[in-house]
Amino acid sequence: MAALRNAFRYRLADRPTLDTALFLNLYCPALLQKLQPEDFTIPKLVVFSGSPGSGKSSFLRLFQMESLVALRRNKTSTSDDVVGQPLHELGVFDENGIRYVGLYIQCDSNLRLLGDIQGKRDNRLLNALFDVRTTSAYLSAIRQLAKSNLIDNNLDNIKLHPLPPEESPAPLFGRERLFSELEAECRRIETDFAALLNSFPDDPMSPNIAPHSRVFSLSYLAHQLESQGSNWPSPVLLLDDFQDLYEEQRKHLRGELLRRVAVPRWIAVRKYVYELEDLLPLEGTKEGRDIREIDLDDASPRSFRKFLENVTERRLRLTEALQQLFTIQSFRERLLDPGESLPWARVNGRVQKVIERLKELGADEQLAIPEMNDVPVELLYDLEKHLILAERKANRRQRYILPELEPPEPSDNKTEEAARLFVSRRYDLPYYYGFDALSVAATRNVEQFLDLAADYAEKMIFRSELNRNLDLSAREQHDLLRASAKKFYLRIDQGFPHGSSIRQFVENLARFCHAVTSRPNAPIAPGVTGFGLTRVQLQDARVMDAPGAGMRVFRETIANAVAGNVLWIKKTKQGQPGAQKFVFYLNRLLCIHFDLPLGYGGWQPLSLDMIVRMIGAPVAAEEMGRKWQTQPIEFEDTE
Amino acid sequence: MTGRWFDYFLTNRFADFWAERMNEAGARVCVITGIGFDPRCRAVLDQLLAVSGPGQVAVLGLRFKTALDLIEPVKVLNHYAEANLKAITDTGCEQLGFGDVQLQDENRFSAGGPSALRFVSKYIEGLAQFRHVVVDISGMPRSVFYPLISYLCSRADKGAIHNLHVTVSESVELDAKIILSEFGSADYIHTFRLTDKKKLVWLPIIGGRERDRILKIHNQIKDDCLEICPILPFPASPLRKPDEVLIENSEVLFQELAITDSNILLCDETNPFDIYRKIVALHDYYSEKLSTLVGGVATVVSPLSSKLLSLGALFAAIERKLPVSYVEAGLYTLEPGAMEVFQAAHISPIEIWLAGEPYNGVHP
Repeated sequence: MAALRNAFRYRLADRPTLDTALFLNLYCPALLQKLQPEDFTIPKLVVFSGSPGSGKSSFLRLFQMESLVALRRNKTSTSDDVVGQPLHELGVFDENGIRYVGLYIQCDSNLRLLGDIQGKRDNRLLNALFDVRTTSAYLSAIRQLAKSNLIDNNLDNIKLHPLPPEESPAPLFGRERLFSELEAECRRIETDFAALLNSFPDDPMSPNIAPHSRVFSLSYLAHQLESQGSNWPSPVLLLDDFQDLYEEQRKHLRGELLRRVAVPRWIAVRKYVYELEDLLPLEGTKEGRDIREIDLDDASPRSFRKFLENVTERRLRLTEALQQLFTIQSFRERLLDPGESLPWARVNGRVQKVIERLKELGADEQLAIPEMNDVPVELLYDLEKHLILAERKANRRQRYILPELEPPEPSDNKTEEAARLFVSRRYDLPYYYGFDALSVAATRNVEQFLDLAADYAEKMIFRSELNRNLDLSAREQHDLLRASAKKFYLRIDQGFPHGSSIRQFVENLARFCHAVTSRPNAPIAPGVTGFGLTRVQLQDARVMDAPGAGMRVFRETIANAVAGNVLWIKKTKQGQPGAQKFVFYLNRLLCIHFDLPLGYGGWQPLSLDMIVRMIGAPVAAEEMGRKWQTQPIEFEDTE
Repeated sequence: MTGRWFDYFLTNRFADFWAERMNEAGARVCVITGIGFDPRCRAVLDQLLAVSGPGQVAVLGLRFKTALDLIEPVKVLNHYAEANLKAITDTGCEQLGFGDVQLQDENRFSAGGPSALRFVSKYIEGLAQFRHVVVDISGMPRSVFYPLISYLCSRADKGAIHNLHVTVSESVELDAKIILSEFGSADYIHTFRLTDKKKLVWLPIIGGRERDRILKIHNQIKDDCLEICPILPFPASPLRKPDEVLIENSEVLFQELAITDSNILLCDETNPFDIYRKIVALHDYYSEKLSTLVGGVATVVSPLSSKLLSLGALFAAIERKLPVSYVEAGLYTLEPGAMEVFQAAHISPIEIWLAGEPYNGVHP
C-alpha cells in the first residue's frame, strides 16, 4: 500500500487525490453501525443529516461501484476486515457478488436552477433531469461491473423494457430500448439540459427535453430488475447535498422519493436547511413507516473519541514518516505534558501577588513560599486553588461571629480545573495539550479533527525528516491549537450564511463568558462557554416571527451557527415538566481562541431580546447578565 | 490562431471619444448601469451627459437588492444606493426603465444574473432604437455583468443592437475600501455553465488574498481538474503586486494546491485584451494537446481579480464558450471613511467598443 506524506490532510470524499484503495484503507466504518439490513431489503427513504465535515459524502462513496468492486476484488486486504465485513452483514455482498450498488446523484446548481428557468418555478424539468441522471448512473455502474468481469460483458444489445402504458411514463421510459441506445439517449438529453441552462431569455428549448410531472426512473430501474431476472445488483439512490435545492424542490423530491418502490433511497443533507426547532437534538433515530432519519452528529462523546482514535491510527499507518507510531497509544505518548517545575525568577513576582491577596482575604500573615531554584507547578496549582476558595469564602453572604464555626469552602474537580486555567493564564503556561484536548477541540466533527491533527502530524513529519525526536511539547501543542482556533474564528465571516451576524454574536458571547470565567472566585468552575434557551423561548421566537422583525434574524443566525457547527446544542436532563433547556455551546475551537476552558458545564440564560442585540452590535459583558445567573447543569450525555 | 477581438478598440480618453460620437448626426446612447452603493455607478452617465446635447442620452438602471436588508451594514449601503439613484434621476436624462435585480434569492443562492437578463431582455427592442448601447460595469458584480454582456453581444451579432460598448471606472484604491464577506458556495456563473463532463484546466485570476474563494472553487471542480494555471496582474501598479499576491496566497497555492511556478501566467492589469488573448491561446493549446489523451477538455476561468482583468476573461469565455466558476460575496461592507475617499477620488472611465461599426466586415 502506497503511503502518503501526511494522510491527515486528505478528505475521504476527495476522488482525484485519494484513489479507491487508499480511501478504503483510511475509511473508519463507525457510521456503518447506523445501518440495518432492512435499509436494503425493505426500502425506506433514509435521511442522513449532519454538519459540514460530519462524513456524509465519504459514507456515500463507500457504496459506489468503484469502492464495491475494489472491496470485492481485494478480499484479503486489511480493509476487508473492518469495511467489507459489515457490508457483508448488511447484505451489500453475498456469495454471488455485489447485490446493491449506490447511484450517486449530487444535487448541484444545475438541478436547482431547472426549477427556475426564465423566472418560473417548475419541478417538471427537475424530474426530467433527475430521471436522466439516475438512469445514466445505473447504466454506468452496470458498465463498470461488466468491465470488471463481475457480470457478463455483452451489454450493448440487452433489451430494456418500457414501463407499462398505464403508468403514463415519460418518453424516455415509454418504449423498449437497447442498453447502448438508452446510454446515448441519456447523454444527448443531458447535453441539451446543459444548453438550456446556458440559454438566454427567449431562446428555444430542445425538443429532446420532455418535462414530466413525476419521477419515473426508480420504478423503471425496479422494473428492469424484475423483468431481467439477471444478476445485476439492485440500485440504491444516493442523493447528496440535498440542501443545495430550493425548499419547494426538496419537498417535491422528498414526496417523490416517499413513493413506495423496490429501490432504497438515501438522502444526505446538511443541517443548514433546517429550521431552528429541527436542529434541536433528536431522540436517537427518528423512524416512521416510510422514512428513517439518522443524525450523523449525535454520536456519544465516548464513541466519538473511539472513532477519532481509530481514524488517527489509520492515518498514522498511511503517513510515511509516522508509520513507526502505529498505535494511538504511541501517538498519545508523543504529546508531552508540560514541565513539572518553573524557575523561581519566572514566577516570583506573580506568586507574591497571590500570597498578598490570600493575606488580604484572611490567610496567615506568615504565609510565604521559600525561595528555590525550581518551583513545582503543583504548588502553584494549590496556591491558585486556595485563592479561589478564599475568594468564594469572602463572597459568602452569611457571616459567622466565631471564625472557627465557619465551614471550610469545599473544593472539587471543577475547582481544580479552574485553578489550572488560572495558573496557565497567570504564569503563561500551556493549557491546551494532550490527545484529549485535541479530540475535544474537534467538537465532534471529524473534518475539524483532521484539520487539527494534520498540523500536529506536519510538525512530526518535519522532525522525522530531520531525524529528530517526534515529541511535541505541551507549548507546541497549545500554540498549534491556538493557531487553528484563530483561523476558524477568522473564517466565520466568510464561511457561513449570516457569517457576519454569527461572528458578532460569538464575539459578544465570548466576551461575556470570559468575564464570568475570569472572576476571582470562579463561580461556575471551570468556566462558562455557552448560553441557554428554554423551549418556551424558542416557541416565542416563532410566534413573534414576522417579516422584518429581529426574531427572523435571530432564528436564521442561530440556526446557521448550529448547522455550521459554530454552536453546539446540548439538552439538559429533564427536570420538572417544561424545565428542560437547550444549551448552545461555543465550538471548542472558539473556546481556545477566547482563552476559555474546554469542558462543557457553565452557561448563561439569555433573553431573546438580548440575543437579538448581540447579533446586531457589540454589547458590554455586564449588560448580558448582571445577576451572573450562570449555572452548571447535568446533561443527557457527558463529555 | 485568431479571435474576435484580436483587433480591438480601447481608449482612456473617454470624454474626447464620446464628444466625437455625440457630434454625429442622430447619435443617441443608452447607458445600462447597475445602481448600488458605489458612486462609480453614475460616473459614466455624468461624463456622457457633459458632452451630449438634450435628449441624446438615456439610462436603463438595475437597482440591486440583497437578501440581507435587515442588518445594519446593508442598511447603510442601501442608503448610499438610494442617493445614487436620486442623483441619476435628477440628471434629467431619458429613463428607459429602472428595475430591481435581486442579487440573492430567498434561499441566498446567487440570482443576480438571471434576474438582470430577464429585466434587460424586456427592453431589447427599445435598445435597438439607440445607435450606441453602453454597459457600465463599474457598479456591477461579476455575476451580473458576465451574463449581461454575453447576452447583449449575442443580440448585437443578430443585429438587434447597433454598437455595443463596455465602460469601467477602475480604481484599486476604491476597491480596497470595499470588504467582501459571507461567501456562498462556488458555482458557475449564469450562461457560463459547464456543459458536459470533461477534464478541466483551471485559470484562477487572483488579485489579492483569496484563500477561501480559491479553495471553494477548487472544491467544486477538483474531481476533474487536470491543471491549474493561476493568472496574476503584471505589469501592475505597484510593480510588486504579483509578488504580494503570491506571498498572500502562498499557502493555498503552493502547499494546498501544489501549483508549480512554471504554470503561473502574468497579464497586463490595464489592458483586458492581453489576458483575453492569453486565455484563448492557453485554451487552444490545452485542447489540442490534451484532447487526444483524455478526451474533451474545458478551460474554467475564475475572475477573482480587478474588473479589467475580469472583463478580459469574459471576452475569452464568450469567444470560446468557457465555463466560469465564481464565488459571489453575500455581503459588501465599507471600511470606515470609505465614502470620503470615494467622494474625493478622480474617476476616469475606460471605453471599450465591443461590437458594431469598427468590427463590421472584419469578422463574421
